[in-house]
Amino acid sequence: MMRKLFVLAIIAVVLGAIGAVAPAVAAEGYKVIAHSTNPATSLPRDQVARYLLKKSTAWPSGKVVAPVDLGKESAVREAFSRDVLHKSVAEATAYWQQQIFSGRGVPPPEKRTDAEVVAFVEGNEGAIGYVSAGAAVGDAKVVDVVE
Amino acid sequence: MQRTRRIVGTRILMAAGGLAALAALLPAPTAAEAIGDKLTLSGFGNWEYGKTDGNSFGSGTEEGEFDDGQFALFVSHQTSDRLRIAAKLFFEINGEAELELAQVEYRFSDAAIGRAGVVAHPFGISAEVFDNGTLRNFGHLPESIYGANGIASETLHGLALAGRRDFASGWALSYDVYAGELTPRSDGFFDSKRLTEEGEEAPNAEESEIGYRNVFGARAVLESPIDGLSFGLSAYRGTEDDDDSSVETMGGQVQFQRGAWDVRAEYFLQEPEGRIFSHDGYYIELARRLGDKWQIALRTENYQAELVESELVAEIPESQLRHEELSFGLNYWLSSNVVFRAAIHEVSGLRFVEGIADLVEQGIEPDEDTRLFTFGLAFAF
Repeated sequence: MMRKLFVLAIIAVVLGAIGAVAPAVAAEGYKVIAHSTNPATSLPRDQVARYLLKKSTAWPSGKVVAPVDLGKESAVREAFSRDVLHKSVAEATAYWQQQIFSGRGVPPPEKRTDAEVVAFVEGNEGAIGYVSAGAAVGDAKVVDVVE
Repeated sequence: MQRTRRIVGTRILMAAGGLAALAALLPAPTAAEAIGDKLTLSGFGNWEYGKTDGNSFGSGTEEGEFDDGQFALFVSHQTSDRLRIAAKLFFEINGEAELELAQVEYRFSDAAIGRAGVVAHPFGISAEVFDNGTLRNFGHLPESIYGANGIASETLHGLALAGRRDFASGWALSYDVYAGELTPRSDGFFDSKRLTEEGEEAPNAEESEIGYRNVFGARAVLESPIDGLSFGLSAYRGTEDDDDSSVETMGGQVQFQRGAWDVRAEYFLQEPEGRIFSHDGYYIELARRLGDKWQIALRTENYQAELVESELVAEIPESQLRHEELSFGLNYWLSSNVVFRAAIHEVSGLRFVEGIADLVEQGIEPDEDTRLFTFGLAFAF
């Protein structure tokens, strides 16, 4: 009996998941930036997500990825989080709590302003972050996110 | 009592030693930004009030219980690109302290991450984050899997290797393999129900803090191309400290977390060679956010112990071998890090009800059903 219920639960979860619709990548509100020496000019959305969630920690060159976030209250972060990570900031916060308290990892540093994010990216060859669409990016380069 | 004091004292010393070792490894900071980017300080806390309609169960008693509270402090230092150290101290409201994490991690690659020391036990959905109240939908995890039944351990003392592989199709596989010692949660019923070598129930079997040594285990989690949907399998095999008997535990999980939905289901089976029973359990849990703040949750769970077939094993009332629970909860998320919650739990069966042996000794027939009301909060930072 309990095995049947367990199988039913799996079927219910899968059906519920299929019914959910993924958000589309939005081109406005934010832009993704990387260090000027990074050869990438565009990156797949899911790869950018893996970098920001630290599921991938090395660039193809072997250089260590150094992701950086804006603060949790930032509207730019909310837009980026939903579009690229497919998570709200609250869901991403829960993801990082799971990582932290299981000892598996810690979140990227959080910066209060676009300027601080740009400064971090300029100072770290492996860095990747995001800023508001109209922000000045200094010596960092803008990377297109493609689906 | 003396043994309890020694255990608490030993744990406090271990905790102090862990902190001292961590402090010795930390390099002197050179800039505020360096401290902020390399050092992470986090923590979480929970508190719950529980009241039942008779039996003592979970966080509740008939009189009402206010003393269910925990706090944990976590610190991590990214010593280099590949090397990280982390520790977590856990405190109960009664003053007991425990070192729940004291690990060194070395990242060879995304597919091979080694951890050593006191590490979180990679088992099921929640063993690694056993006490973190903001990562679950009810105040406590399901008893059927994570209760005091010798199945789930919060920590592993030993070595672990973890990794992840992403596939072009959108699937991803995460794995953990480990070896060492586990100290799963257990209670008097589990501790004492032992078999002798002749297959008879051990007379006057004493309760003891159980431990499994020479453990080898693994967990594999498959993330599907559907965002938030994953499937997993966990298993471990070890040897009981007290009588060298073997114990095998295995099970599966499915989880869907996306948007407003949080759906979880797990099933586990354990066969302890040296016990008078084998047991299994499952739960199914659904939670849904209603807007940004409110959340409703529903959980059903079932646990069943089966006695070994032997005339040498005394009969135990069926009600003391099972646990069925239906829970309904209402949560209010003040923020993503703070939640207030209330729940009602309808319990049938006496397996995890406390004080049954005392009632039976007094000739009192315990009520097989228990209703528990809980109110509490959880936070993390």
